[in-house]
Amino acid sequence: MLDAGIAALVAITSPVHILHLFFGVAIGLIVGILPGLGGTAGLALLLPFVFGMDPSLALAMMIGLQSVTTTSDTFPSVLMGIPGTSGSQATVLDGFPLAKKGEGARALSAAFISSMFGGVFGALVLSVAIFFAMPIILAIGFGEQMMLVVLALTMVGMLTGANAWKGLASCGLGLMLGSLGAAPFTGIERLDFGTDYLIDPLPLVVVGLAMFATPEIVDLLRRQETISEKPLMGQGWTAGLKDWLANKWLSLRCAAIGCLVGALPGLGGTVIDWIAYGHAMQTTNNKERYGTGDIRGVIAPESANNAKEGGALVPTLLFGIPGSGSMAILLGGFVLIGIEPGVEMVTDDLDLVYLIIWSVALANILGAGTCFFLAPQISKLTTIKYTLLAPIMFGLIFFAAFQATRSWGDLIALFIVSVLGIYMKRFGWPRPALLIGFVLADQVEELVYQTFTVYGLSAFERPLVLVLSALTGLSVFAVVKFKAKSGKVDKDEAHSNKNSLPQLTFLLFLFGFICLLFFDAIQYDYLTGLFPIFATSLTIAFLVPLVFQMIKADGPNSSYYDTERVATTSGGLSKSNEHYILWIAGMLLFSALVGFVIGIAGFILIFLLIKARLSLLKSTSGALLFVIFLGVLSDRLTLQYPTGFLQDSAGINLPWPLQ
Amino acid sequence: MSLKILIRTSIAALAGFLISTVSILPAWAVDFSGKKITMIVPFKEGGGTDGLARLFAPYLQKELPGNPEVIVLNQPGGGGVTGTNKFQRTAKKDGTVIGMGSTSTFVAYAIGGDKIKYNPMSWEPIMLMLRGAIVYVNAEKMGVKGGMSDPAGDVAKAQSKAVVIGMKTPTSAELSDYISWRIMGANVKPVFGLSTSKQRKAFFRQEIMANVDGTGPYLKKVVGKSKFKTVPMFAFGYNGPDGKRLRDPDAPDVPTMEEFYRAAFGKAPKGPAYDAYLNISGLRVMSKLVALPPGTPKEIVKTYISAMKRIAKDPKAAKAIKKTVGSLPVYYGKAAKPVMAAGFKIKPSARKWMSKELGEKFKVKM
Repeated sequence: MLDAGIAALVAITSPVHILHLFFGVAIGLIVGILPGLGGTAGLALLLPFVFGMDPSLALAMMIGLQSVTTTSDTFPSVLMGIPGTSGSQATVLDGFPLAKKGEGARALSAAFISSMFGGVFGALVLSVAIFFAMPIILAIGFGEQMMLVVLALTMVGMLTGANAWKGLASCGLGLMLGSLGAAPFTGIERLDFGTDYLIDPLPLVVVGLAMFATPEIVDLLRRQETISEKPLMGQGWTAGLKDWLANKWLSLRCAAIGCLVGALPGLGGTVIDWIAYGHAMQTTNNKERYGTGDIRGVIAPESANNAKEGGALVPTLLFGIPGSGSMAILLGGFVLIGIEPGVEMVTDDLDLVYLIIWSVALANILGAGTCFFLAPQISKLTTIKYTLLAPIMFGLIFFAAFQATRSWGDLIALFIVSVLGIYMKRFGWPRPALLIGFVLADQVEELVYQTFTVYGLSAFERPLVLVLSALTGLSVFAVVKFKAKSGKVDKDEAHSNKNSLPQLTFLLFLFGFICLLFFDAIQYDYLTGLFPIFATSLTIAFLVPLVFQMIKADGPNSSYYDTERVATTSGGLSKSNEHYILWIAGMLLFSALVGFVIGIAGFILIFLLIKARLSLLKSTSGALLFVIFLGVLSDRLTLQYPTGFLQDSAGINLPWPLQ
Repeated sequence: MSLKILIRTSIAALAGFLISTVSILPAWAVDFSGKKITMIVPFKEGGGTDGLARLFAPYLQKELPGNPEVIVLNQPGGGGVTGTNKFQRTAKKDGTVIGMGSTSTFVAYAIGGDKIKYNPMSWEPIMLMLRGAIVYVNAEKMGVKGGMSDPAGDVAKAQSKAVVIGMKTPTSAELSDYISWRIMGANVKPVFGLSTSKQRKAFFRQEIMANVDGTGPYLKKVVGKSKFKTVPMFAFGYNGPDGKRLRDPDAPDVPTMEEFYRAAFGKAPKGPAYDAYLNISGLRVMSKLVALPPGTPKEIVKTYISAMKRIAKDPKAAKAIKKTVGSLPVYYGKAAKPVMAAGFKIKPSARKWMSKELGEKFKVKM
């Protein structure tokens, strides 16, 4: 065993291997930075080149790519408030406020060192677990998976904000959004509004961007400023390293969580960052600082999301059963180079197993190092005037959303859910809670049903289920204890109960959506309709106490919240949310006419001209650069951008890169 | 002669002239030089159909006249329905767009529904690949021997307890698995919402008792991989040239469902349930299709067929194809049509049986 490990280390450190590994790392870093693209897209990009390569070189390249997408995805999360991959959504919560305070460098360096630590830790765990994990994985049945999901839901109960009912109702709303589209058991499309788009449920990337990216961009635009007023200071880099050292145990715990959740079936990679974030809040002091730029809110998710890869490789290598999209492609790549994953791999191809492990560790070190090296340059983005960045960022998030199913529906869904996100931000409905509800919706639906179909109540006789139930109890206790302490309301304007018409309109809209979903659900068979009925009833159950609170309030109350009031009194905000919503709608309408590429180019051009007051020459070059960027990506990734009336009905075929 | 008649005759004459011109034109050589050929895969990157398309792409590039660039375009969504609809609706008919069909889009078409806007029978098939499937069980939990050891005893065991199986939805491809157990008179208890890989995991955890897998995955990923004793029960056979049901050459010891039934019950299976089984298992075995959109000129179709035949003869490609789909027959061009028709033509009695079964058991409308 030791011989094989050392032999693999010697092999991986040969120049040709390092070169391939670094090539993979470089691609991984690039797709990680680009919102909407992650390991899945990157590996798909590599796959054609892998065919016929020397297995150990191909492995180094693929693993290198796979390991670092969650290192570089921190850049857009921290610097722009757009999650680079779904694994760094939670990083936005504290990372972006830190960047706004001018501490982007500190946040980035803490994130990179956490990522590196998490990744190397994941590799370590992988090297041990691969020999012992089989019985553990086999012990995690439907019941255990169900309890894991419930445990995760209680952990994110910490993310409910100032008013617990609003937070819980947001989570319910997430469950409701998650129940749109094809029912998992019957394939019947629930509340599809007559569109083909909702044959599938709403894509996560669309909901994630709509909740976090669009509202933040609009908010920054209205403030008419740069992301950070102060330029990034050099000493921030060492501060970040010191922050990590001060929180090394938190980082270790989160890395362990990342590994475990990555290896276990049932939860999936997209919630790992949230679970780590919730865990950090539950187990540390000064909880109220989370969400306002607390470095621990960066360290926790970043330690976990890189450690996940090591964990996720355990079942992939042992069973040849992938746990995620990118693992599925990795597996496809294994098969292409003639490697057959399975238990025998541990006995027959031990050298390759160690090669994989060393590659994970080395890629994480290389990836974090490269990010450190590039960060000062990339960080300068935050000092650019925001009106210059915003149109490009709108272009980026619509491009990212389009990666979900590569159809017009992605763009329209992003727009509609973004409007919801913008008003949730305005009225103080916690968006992380909605996202968690949304991510876990299908798991809750499937696992509860599957557990009771297979086991009935005897599921609660299984020892692991009992252990997880006990942990869930502890987690609930921590939430309740924390919430009891933090229930007080700041006497600021935002919580005033006056002029509440906009809030009530929003509430009315929510009730309308609940009714729509409920009355749609009751016409189906129980397999299809039960979950939306459950989700809507749950949301109503959370909304009733909220409404009661609102009626009872005779002064500022946590049930009321409206940022606009603060905004209008403190002044300095330009234009309304609606103004920018119309801008985006205009871009989409224009795209519907001429296709996405020209549509977004026109949007960038006009936005730069009017909003950023750039010269025609500069605005045009900005738009052209983005078109070339889209063109290169479409060429490399074989994408076809959404077409408009011009192409579909007028039958005009545009040349590359305009099509 | 009125003007109307004049116009009509001239149109007819013109049409006749055009038709005769086209038909006497020499079959010009198909050339894809400098063109880009797109293979539409209606699934995400990484699945079986995607893997096959990516396997073919470099070979097609080599074998097609003019060596065009061949790329794979993933159009995921709706279990393959979205991308396949798009292929049917928008694919250019000049040979630059190839579609990939697979069991899940075939079953969706056969079951029907307002979202299905494609018809595989209208396509120009290039290559249809069959892939065998095997029903296997947890021998310890079911108390059975499997295969031809003691079919009658095994059936009695299956009838005495609930056979828990995994399915994606009541109308997904595993319906063939479900129907075969029903034909055996077993009380089947399906757990819905499980994809193929989740089914296999649940089987290893002993949460479902019986499962079905393609012969290749069964041999590679199931045989000898469980902590308990796993035995094959029967295979979904396929029709030989004379219409006889044949065993899978990759698993020659596993009886076909028909053989198993005859040994257990002393008679051949028949009736609406068996008709439904023939349809759905037929669609399951009809694993992968490479096709051109309807209306593609004959010359182009021919060019593709001969290119594919050459690829299938390339030793390296042949090995990779066999690894993906196994050793069942491959049909080229028109020869694929009757095989497809047999799967798609669901007898009214079979549809009625499925509709009643699914409606009564799971309150699902077909």
